[in-house]
Amino acid sequence: MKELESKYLNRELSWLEFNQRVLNLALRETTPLLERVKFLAIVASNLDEFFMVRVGGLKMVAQANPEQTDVTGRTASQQLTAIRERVLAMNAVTSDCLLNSLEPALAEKGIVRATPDSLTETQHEYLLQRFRDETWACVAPVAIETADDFPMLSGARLCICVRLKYRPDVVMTANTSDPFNSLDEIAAQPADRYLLIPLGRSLSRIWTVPTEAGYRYMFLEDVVGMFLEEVLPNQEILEWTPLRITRNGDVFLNEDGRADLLLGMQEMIEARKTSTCVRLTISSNASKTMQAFLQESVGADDADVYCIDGPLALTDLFELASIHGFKELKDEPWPAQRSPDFDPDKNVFDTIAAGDRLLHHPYQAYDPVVHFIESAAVDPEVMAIKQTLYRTSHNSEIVAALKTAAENGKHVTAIVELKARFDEARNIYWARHLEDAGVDVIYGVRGLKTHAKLCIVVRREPTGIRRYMHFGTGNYNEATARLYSDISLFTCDEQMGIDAVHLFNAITGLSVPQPMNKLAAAPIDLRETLLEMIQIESENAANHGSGQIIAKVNSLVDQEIIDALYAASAAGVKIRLNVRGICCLIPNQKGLSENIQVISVVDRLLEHSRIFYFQHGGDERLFISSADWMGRNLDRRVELFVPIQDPDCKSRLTRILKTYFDDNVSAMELGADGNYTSVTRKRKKGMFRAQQFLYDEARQIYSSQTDPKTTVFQPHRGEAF
Amino acid sequence: MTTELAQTPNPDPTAPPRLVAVIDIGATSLRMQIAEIHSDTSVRKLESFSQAVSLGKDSFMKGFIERSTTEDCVKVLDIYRQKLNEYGITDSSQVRVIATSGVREAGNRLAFVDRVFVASGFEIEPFEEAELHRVTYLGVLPFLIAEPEYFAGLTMVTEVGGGTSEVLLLDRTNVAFSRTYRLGALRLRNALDRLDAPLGKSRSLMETQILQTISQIKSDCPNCLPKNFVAMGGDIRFAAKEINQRPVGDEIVKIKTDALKKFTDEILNQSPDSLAARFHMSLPDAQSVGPALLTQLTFAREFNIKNLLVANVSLRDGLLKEMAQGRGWSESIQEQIIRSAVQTGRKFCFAETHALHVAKLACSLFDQTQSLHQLPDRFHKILQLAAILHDIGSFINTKSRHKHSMFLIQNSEFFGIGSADLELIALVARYHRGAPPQPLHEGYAKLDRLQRVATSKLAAMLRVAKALDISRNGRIDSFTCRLDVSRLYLHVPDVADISIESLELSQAGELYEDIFGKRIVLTIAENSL
Repeated sequence: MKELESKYLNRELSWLEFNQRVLNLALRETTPLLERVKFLAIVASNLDEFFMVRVGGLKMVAQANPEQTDVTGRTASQQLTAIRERVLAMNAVTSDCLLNSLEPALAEKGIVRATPDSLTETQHEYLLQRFRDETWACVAPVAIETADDFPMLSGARLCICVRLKYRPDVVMTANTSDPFNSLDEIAAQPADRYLLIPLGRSLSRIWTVPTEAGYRYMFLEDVVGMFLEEVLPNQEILEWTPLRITRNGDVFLNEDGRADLLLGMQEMIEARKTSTCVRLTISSNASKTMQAFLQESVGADDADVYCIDGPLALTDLFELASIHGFKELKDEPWPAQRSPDFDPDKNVFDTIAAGDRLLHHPYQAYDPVVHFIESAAVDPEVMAIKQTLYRTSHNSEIVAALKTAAENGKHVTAIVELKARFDEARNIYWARHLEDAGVDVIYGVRGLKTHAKLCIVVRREPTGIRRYMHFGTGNYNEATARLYSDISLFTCDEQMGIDAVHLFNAITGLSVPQPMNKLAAAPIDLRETLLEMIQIESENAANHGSGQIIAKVNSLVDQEIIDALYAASAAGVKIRLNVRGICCLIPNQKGLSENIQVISVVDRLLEHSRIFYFQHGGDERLFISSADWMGRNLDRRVELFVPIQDPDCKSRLTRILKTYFDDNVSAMELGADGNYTSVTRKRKKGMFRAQQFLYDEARQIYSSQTDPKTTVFQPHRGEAF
Repeated sequence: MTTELAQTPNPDPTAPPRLVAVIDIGATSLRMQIAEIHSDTSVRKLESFSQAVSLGKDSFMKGFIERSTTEDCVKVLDIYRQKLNEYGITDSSQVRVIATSGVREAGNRLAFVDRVFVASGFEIEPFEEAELHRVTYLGVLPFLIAEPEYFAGLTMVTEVGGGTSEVLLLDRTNVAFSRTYRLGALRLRNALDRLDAPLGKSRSLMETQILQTISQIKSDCPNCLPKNFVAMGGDIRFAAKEINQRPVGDEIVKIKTDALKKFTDEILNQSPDSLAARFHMSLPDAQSVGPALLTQLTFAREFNIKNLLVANVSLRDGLLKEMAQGRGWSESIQEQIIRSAVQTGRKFCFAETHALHVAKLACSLFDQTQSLHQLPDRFHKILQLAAILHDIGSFINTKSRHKHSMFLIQNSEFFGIGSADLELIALVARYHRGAPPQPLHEGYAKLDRLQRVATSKLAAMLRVAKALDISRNGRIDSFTCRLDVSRLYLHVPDVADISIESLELSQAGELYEDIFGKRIVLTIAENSL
């Protein structure tokens, strides 16, 4: 990162540094080969979203408000220039990693990217047949005479653009009954200069090439390119290039006055498909003529064009990374461990009533969360379920349980956040299904995204109504719960129950926000609560010489929080921050932040939990939250900040939080110069990898509490007993 | 109160808690509290709701509730009904819906009440100022008992609502004075809007009105020299939370008058829009918070109070406590009501010893003949109060004194007694002598059948009790009742001569015989001879 002129780091460049840390995992030779491939796919996927959201937004600012600067004093244009510089460098490293490091290494292990020249006749025939049957039938090539004819391509879709030699003697006729033949005719007809072949999302990007040993594959575009001459027999193909357009995903939905948000969201999804192009990615082999034509066609400036060595759209490498077999090239599996706190033979509500329960996913299985909602759906004493859904998985068991609950006559309310970016379409689908089942579906809150992870089960018990809650840091998504590190808290604390329903009622518009005693929520009082907690540490440090904050967040961007942390550092508070992604705070700078340490742990599991520790004069306070320290989370989203009160849960979570600061394998430390460097501190026991330790600990927790030290027989008895 | 609503607490300790709800239709908000009542009458609050409405704005400025406002209320109540269904609260006996000044002062209040009933099925109880005092007292009483150190000497309790301000003066746990004044936060805000007062001028305009009310309080209650000051209401709780930086919990919270002044100044210097944005409150709440705090502050300063006590208690808490006690009056409330009646009696120079003795005998008769009259417990207190006050009409003229008694009772204020109950007390007192109840009699004619029957029964019992102390020397102090097919025997112990009483009963007992079909027979208990 460039030298510092401000007391903050630029958020876009900080994000790119995060992506670089992911890229580092792909570069790391100790990472198993197919995992390295997966990390390249993650880097590409991250970058796609970054361009859609951040670059799209910055380009709009640059146009509308060119003088506006960020907290570091950079205008939007300056930021875009810096981003381009960083992305170009990152692209070069990525391509180099794939072409010169991973592919050769994979080839050595038997996973080979085949070239057309290397194919046997049988392989060629097989691919041609499959190409004719599966691919050519599905694509809709478009002949283009001028740039004005260029079709509106939807963003992130891979295409091929073919440049053909001009032939004025051929007349166009339209016959599309046979795609293969019709293309032949189209190409043979007006013979204008370009042919665009969009490659649909339904087509597999990685083509398996039959082979007797190992695994051979080709990329889709290479297969299409290979057969172009066969499908365009009367044309002279000058060149072809894969290309990809990234469109601005920061399309704004004006909710005011919208009677039907659902319809509005669908319109927005459509609008996103045709919004401005913010990036044009093409092969570096493309000619200047081809590049100029494409630039003009999609309306991309020179600064929007990225020429890539090797394949584009590396997000599709997920397919390659997940090929069957080759276990030695993948991480050793870390199957989620059962928690001894949840006995499958016991009623889940009795379990929670006996004491608060904490789970650390994905080291510990997500099943208890699903089971909690499934149990509620069929428990005759359960009266109501209130659930937030931000990003759900395909075929979500949680959604199914909510439907069952509604069908069983429970009052089920689900807040389905339609505005969860890039998950809108899936959420609309689930929302409709839930509505059909009788669930009262609320489509979020006007002007806010409901990001809080909360499920309340209202149960009638002999002593009165009792509320059981699940608070989480991760989405109710069984798929991501296997990959993201998150915390689950189950409790039936009376006051937290009251606070939770009050928040739920406020979100669902049943009531104006009511005062909350234990929980804090954005945008109501979360910011104030955080600032107050930081302030208390400052006062304790100033007055009693002792104050400590440890926080784990995904991003730290909010200026007010950063300033409060700087002030706390100046007052003598020891601050340790574990910020996975963007961090705009400059740590360890004399006169500003000498008491602040920032690390970032990027490893095989995505660090996603938000955990906060405050020493609080010895009366230690611990919280989990759905919110990052970003303006959007504190002001424009509904978020929760949940205290951990149970001593056992508290001590375990504190241990988890502190574990990351011992990592000297995957952790990197942010320096006062804004650069991240590997943590090199030595430990007596050698290398320490936090995620490995946490997985081992989850296994140990389960085995230590389930190993039968004494022989107590528990026979299954019939009803008569 | 109607008799159908009366319920007694569930005495079974193993009984599951009863789910109930109270809905308070206020001037600026429509609030609901859902709670559980346990067998020991403890209340556990489960969920609360609040939605902004503009009833007060309509009523105080236009004199009637706009149709759109009514429909807004109906929508909110419809949502509340769904929440009640979620809890299985479907029986009307589980829900109390009361409306305060925002509805009470509207010219079309009956149309509003009917519309709400038709649309949502909720039956709104007319809730009067005197009942408000009772419920407020009930809400604050636990603090008086639990934290007596705060309540040495006189304590003023104030709640500033949208349309009215309630003032109670407590002498330790006893109510010395209670009254409601037409001074409310919304009324003040509306007055400013009407005058189009600039921000700089609005404070002094409001203070002028508040000081006028304080002057009235001092005139109504010359001994109002409180040592302590309890401020109630959502606005002051909000202020206490902001000043102390923590929400008001289960214990009384103290805030300095100076701190309140500073905070009130800060609030008054901001527009309602910016308050709503800053404190995440509804616009109607943001509009009323400044005037409400200024009112409390001015009260505190005018009564030389250095610290305000703030309790986390609301009208809904008091209502829930009443529901927990079976909607009858708790002992402490009964005590306050009787104190209030005695004070009224003294104002009219009543024969206190006689009146209280007649009340004692009447209550004894009521209790012993429960199986005969079958009236709910609530009427016990109606009878007791009517007995205490039955002869205050003598203050005006002994001729037709029973009618004067009725008039005086009808036009007096009693702590905790609403107008419906007051009317019954007045009628029972009126029928302690003279003609029996007749359909053409004023007041009696307006009663429904159930109330007419109850009035006649109570008047009959009062006549018997009065006859038993005809000598006014209290020589008949107790009696035991025995029923047979046609007679009610009253066995009197420790009395040698009951001839005067018997003679009196021969006339006074006629109404009893007419109503119950039992002739009263007074006898001296055998073991006392």
